[in-house]
Amino acid sequence: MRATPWFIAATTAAVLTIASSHAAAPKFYPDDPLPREPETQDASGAANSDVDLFSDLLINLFMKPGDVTPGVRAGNINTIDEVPDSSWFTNRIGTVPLSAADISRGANVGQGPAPGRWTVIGAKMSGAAPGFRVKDSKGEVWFLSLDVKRAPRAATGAIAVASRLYWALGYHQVESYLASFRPGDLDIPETTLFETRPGHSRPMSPDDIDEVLSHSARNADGSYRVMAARLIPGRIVGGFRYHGTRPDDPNDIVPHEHRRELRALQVFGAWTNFVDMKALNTIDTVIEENGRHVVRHYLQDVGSMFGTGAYEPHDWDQGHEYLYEGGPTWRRLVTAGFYLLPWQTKPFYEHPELGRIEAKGFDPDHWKPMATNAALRQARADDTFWAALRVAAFSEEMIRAAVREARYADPDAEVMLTRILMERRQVILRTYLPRITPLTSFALTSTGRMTFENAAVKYGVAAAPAGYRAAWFNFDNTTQTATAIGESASASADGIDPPAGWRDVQPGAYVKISIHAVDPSRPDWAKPIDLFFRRTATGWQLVGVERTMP
Amino acid sequence: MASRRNICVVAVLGAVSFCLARPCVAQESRAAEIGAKQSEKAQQLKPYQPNVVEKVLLRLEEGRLNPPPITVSFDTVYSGGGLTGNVLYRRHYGDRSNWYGRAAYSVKHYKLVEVGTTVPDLGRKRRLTFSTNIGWRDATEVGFWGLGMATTEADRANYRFREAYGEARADYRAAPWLPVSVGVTFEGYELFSGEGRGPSIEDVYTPATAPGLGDSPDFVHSDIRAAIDTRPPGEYTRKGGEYSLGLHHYQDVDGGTYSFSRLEAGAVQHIPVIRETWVLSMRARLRSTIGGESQVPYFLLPTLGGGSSLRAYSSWRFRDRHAADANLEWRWIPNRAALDMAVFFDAGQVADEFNALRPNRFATAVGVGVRLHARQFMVMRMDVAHGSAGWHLTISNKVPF
Repeated sequence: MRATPWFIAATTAAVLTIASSHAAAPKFYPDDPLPREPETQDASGAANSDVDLFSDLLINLFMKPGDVTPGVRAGNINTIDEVPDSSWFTNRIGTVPLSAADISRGANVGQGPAPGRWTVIGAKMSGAAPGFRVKDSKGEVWFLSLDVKRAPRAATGAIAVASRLYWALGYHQVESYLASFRPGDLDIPETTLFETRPGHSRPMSPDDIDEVLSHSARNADGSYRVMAARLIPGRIVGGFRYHGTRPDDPNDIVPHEHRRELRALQVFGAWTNFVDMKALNTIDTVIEENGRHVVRHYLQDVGSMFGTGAYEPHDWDQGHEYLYEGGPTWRRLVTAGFYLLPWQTKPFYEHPELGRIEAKGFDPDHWKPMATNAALRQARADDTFWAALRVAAFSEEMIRAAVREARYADPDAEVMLTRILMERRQVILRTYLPRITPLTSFALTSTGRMTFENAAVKYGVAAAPAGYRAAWFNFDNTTQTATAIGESASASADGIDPPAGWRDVQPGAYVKISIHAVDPSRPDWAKPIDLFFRRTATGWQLVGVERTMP
Repeated sequence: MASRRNICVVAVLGAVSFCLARPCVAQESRAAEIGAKQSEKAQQLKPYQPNVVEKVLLRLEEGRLNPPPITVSFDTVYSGGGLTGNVLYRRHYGDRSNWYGRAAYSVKHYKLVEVGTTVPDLGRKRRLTFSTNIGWRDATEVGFWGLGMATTEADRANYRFREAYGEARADYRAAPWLPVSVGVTFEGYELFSGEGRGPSIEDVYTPATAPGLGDSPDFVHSDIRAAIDTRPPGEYTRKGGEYSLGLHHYQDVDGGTYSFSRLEAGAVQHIPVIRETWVLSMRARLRSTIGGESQVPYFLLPTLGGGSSLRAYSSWRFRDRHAADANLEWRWIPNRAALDMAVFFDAGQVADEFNALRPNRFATAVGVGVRLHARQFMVMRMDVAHGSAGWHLTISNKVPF
């Protein structure tokens, strides 16, 4: 067949179209690294979708929902290996300056319930703790939860502390205020209904309130201490699962098991003993932000933490075993119970206001919530390293500030919980910081000297290595090819100078530096971190961090 | 013609190049790249759809939270009746009150129909529960081996009874740990020849060896029971104890021949060992007929045997005016949420005189059990026990004690 001009022109156009489309995908875009995850679509169509406790529990215990491919890098991180702000997460501790006062305040940007009479508008619909919903004298809606009689201040204290720590860690938290009331302060309008059994409601009576209060801890002056949680803004559309995406949220494109802030809950959960980590303890709400509806995700019920649940201290195995694990179950069965796990013999701290939490032998690698989830299963060493850096950023003063907000009656409780969290923090750092090449805070000066920190050494959980070695490259962002410049070495983490062939470049050009630590006793630290810097008009900007997994 | 072919070629190439290029559409920024993916998803939005497993589990959960008015269960008609099917119709009223109708039929042709109502949460502090029921049951082959301990398996005879009953009961918790129960029941009995394998009772026994044989008395049975109960709420537990005392009086309304009273005392204690790695569970019971003159009909004598007392023996295996038994279980817990194992030792004796109760005369049984349970109730218990009469298997949905 003779090639016609039409055919030649069309073929050429097609080849150019394909080639140009591929060639036009650089490694780094001008807006890298993203400080905030874009949410470009309107999510007003997201509908309420309640997560069922029973099926969520069984699915997570006996199946492996979500992506089971091992070793998948987190999908919501930006090019410098950080989690951008989003409707899931806001960078706070370790990223922006926070004071102890900031942590004391936490998510609470307003005031607690207005003084005066409160109008009961219904029973409490979520969480295990006894309570009800009220409107304060200004008409604002609050969810009140009480402590059970045998554990005064335990459940409300745990919420007070945990909500502040998780706010500082970056999660959306409900505004929660400790308050107190007397039964006589409550009004019950005839329109308030009380569900006595599924499908049957009747007007609430004072006896219904008395029934709740009869099981609740009462203060010495006859009042009741409550944790008052402000109604979350927006339209509630259920909770989020720790796998997959919401099919009705156009902006939710990263499977939840690949969201780093959810994988990081393996570390944060271990630190705070967040054993009741389940979809039912989350809330999604549709809010309007910058003229567009987006779905905001809350870790909503963080009360079952440290050593206590809503009703009683944690069981000894909580934090150590899932509700069902085949291996230990069979071993205990055939050994008549003589197959013992550490939780059965290790010492525990016990305190009426704190519940029960292990004293020694905390092992975050083996910490387990009651049921695991896909995000925890997918956590990689770079995710846990990222999380450990945030735990490291908590000073003792900050932790004490959060604990003080529990207003425990016994000063020893405050001291003990602070000490527990500090001890567990130290174990977290010792476990997760040295697991990969623990370098952070990279910067490239105009002279070409690269500075960085060794986080494991900085926080005293590893000895300084013998030195560091770096390979330097010119990097073509368009073709994504690296051309060697040379290698250099340094004996300390103060910085590392460029090799002899180093020349400054024009703005818009890139360099790649592969750096690793030299320490024969830590082979994992020989895995390089690839760093990418972009020359700007004023200096060098870090645009890429790629850690090699052990 | 050529022109048309050229147009086709161009169109095909254009389409192919568009398709190949589309996944890599160049974006100007990372934000645009993410935005394009979100835009693509926006075209495919749909509500959350549970998968097949979730649908099944949701259906089960819905059934648990909102049980249908008619349910099927395996509750027994009368101990020893064998596998029993129950149809229960329950209808709620008021806050948490309900009335129900129940019909049951077992493989041994035991039958029961019953209607009743339960009204909980009465009183200022909602600590009073009132319940009442009327019913009729037919137990076709209840075993009788004679009185006392000196009986053998070969002594078995059967009797059949039909009972019409009506009960009113009040349960009150003076404190969470102090339950008190008071009840009055009309019990009208009709006794018949026993069915099933083995002789009928009148062929083997006489009124001297089976008190009341040949009579069908009616009773007004009143009882009161109080306990100190430190166990957590629910039937299944691994800690706490219950110490109870009860008094029963049976008034024979047909002349008083068979009127009698009985004292019942019980103690249950669960002792967790090393953080509930093991649990030592113990029970001791005494049932004693008050006064030596009263006649207690054979079918109302205290008994031992069955799935919750001497587990190596059949239900009703031992009968007499006084009964004492003890159970010791060493439980280990392969899974704290759902699975217990147990080795157990049962011992007990019946006697015609209280003073004749002697531990060295106790019949004994040893065994091993598997229990599937939920947080507060037993799902299924399977105990295999061995005693002088051989092996015995118990399958139940109740805790042994």
